[in-house]
Amino acid sequence: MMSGRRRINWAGLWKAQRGLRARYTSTDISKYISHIVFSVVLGLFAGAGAVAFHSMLEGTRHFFEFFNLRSYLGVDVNLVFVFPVVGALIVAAMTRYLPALARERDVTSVIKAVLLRNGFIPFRVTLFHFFAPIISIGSGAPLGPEGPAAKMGSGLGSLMSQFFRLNQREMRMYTVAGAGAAIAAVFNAPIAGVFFGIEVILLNDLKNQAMSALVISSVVADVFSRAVHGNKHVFRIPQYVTGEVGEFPYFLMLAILCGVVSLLFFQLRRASGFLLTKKLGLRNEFVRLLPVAALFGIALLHFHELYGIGYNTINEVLNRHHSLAFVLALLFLKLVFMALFLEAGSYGGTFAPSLMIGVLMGHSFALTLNSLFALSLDPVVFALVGMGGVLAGINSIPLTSILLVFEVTGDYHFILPLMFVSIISYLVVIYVNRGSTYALELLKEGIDVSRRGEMDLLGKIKVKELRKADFDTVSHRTPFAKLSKILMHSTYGDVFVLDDRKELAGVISLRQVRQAIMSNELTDLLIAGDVIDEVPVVTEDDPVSLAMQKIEEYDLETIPVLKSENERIVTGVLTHRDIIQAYNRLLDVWATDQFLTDTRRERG
Amino acid sequence: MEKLSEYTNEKFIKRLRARNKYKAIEELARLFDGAQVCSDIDELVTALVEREKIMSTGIGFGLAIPHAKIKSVKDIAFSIGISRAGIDFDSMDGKPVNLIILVAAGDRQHKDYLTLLSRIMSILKDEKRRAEIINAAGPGEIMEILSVE
Repeated sequence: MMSGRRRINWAGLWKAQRGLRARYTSTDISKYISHIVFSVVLGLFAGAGAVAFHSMLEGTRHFFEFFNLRSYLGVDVNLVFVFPVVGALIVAAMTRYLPALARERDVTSVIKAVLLRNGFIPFRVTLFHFFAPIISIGSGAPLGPEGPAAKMGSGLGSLMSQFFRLNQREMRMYTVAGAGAAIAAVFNAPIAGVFFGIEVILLNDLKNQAMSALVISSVVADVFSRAVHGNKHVFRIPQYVTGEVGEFPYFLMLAILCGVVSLLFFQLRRASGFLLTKKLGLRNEFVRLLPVAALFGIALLHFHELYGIGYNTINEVLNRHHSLAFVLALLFLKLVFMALFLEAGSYGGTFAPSLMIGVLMGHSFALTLNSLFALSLDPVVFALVGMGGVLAGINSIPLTSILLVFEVTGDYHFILPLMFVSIISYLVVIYVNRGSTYALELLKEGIDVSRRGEMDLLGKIKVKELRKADFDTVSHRTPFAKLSKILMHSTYGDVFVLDDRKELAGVISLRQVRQAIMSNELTDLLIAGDVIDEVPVVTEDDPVSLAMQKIEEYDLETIPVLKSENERIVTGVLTHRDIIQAYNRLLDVWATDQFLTDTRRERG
Repeated sequence: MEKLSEYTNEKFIKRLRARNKYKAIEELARLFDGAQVCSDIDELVTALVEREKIMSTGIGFGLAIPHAKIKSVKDIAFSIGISRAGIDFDSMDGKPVNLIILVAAGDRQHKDYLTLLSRIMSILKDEKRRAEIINAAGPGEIMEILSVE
């Protein structure tokens, strides 16, 4: 019997997309056109996703908001502290029962996907990180929407690439572009979206092929967002007096302070992590997050301005609704709870909280100096500039910070101090931390992107784990005729030459003495010691990355492995081929290991 | 390819006074003194003598080619020593050596080093050419012989 519902012919759709791809993406011009089309489609998806994300987040936030609770549910305002706990309960359950999806959190997971998996992000990961932050931030967690939005955008870029079976290069490109487009749509800041892609996801790789897709998708996503939400600015900035030249020393002080506060935030995160994991030994997702949420709920009873993203609070501070003492208290609590929530396992980003911290800091800085030294610094300007300073400091994104603050405020008048403060704050953090925020986060997972922009996965394994023992040796006294025969039959085309103490004197490679062997003139004249080449060596305990570095530098096929730096006894050989194979294995293991472990655990 | 004569000069050619192989090697190595070839002649002598102790470079036919590749040699070069009386070099054929070609190369001149040794060998295995060099009237004539390969 025929069903009343019409069934979707998936096989037909699949065939159609393959046909379209084959027909329209094979020639040169069609590649450019399809690139633009894909970028526009991605922009539309990312824009729609960002709008949905934003609307649902706002809806949740609005529902849980203090004064709406009473009208909707008849709930007493004093019960507000329950709501972050309810949100935390749901989020902790999601983390507990879907650990493989939950682990792929933060913007760093997008960077890893681009670096290690050619931009591949499973759609269920995207879905998880779409809803988890809505619940988390919507129920009050003092975090921001940009990290989840970037994850959502990059996930859509990856999904589109998977659906159209685009190649790895294209998938990487659209995953990056999706992240930038979503940021553009969430903040109504297309330039900042592009620079977010460059500074954060591409780790400052300005020559990356993703650039054009990033720009097109960001523009389209923002146009879509503006079409739905309108052209309104998030912040209501009162009249202010732009800084005179004489105020720049104060901006310098603010910049350094922004850097210091950013460093304080990192310290607080480390301390929170230490407290929860080491000191209290809290491993369970519920036990970790619920007390933090409850504590936050209690704080909300007196400081409801801490609730959620904090744009309203920013507007209130800019319009001088709060006293200096209250602003300072908010600043302290925001820093502490932001660190605690992130370490306890909540979901959300650090951009919007950075903006709020910057406003609180700049505002209180100006007011404090005014009252102490009878100055007349405008707290509005310092608050706006502080936004960029803290944003740049906490996230190591000076250019994105300048452009984001400029775009969300729609005001050009304070651009000079904004640029100045953002870059100085960033430099303070970079100087102390010796690396950018995201690079350091990746380093914790064994991915070194600071050195020549390459990953140092090979730094995780030692030479002795890969070395082989089937190497050939000769004495330095060996006559050339005998040496030639040994070389011709050697395993790697190299022989290690040992001196009278059986220590490594050097290496002879077949390619270096081939001419001498062929000419036959030198057979009676030479011994092995005459034709050795001094090559770099590694020891058993060196990282394989060091061996690779030396192999590339000296254009070698093999490198001798010594027992230790003091003992030049050869214990093995490491080949370029073995290293490459190990590297590829590591990439595969790295990419799948976390999922496999959790899948086994779930099944177990 | 450069001519063989471009790796030496008239100052690097002499009739040897030495009567044993180590003295002969030192005498020939010292010809590079002050000639921008080697910054540490003592190191060169030591390397040549050490090498000679491992296996003789006297390859027979009255010919020896002591050689070394060390860091203090800036540019590859060779010197020529002639001994009418002959020097015992523990040669393969047991005969005394009348013509010694001393080759010094830098530690990174591996390819040039083997090429030069090979070219010297291919020229001097010709008995007539060896005799011309040994019986030449002076360094100038030897340079002329070397300039024609």
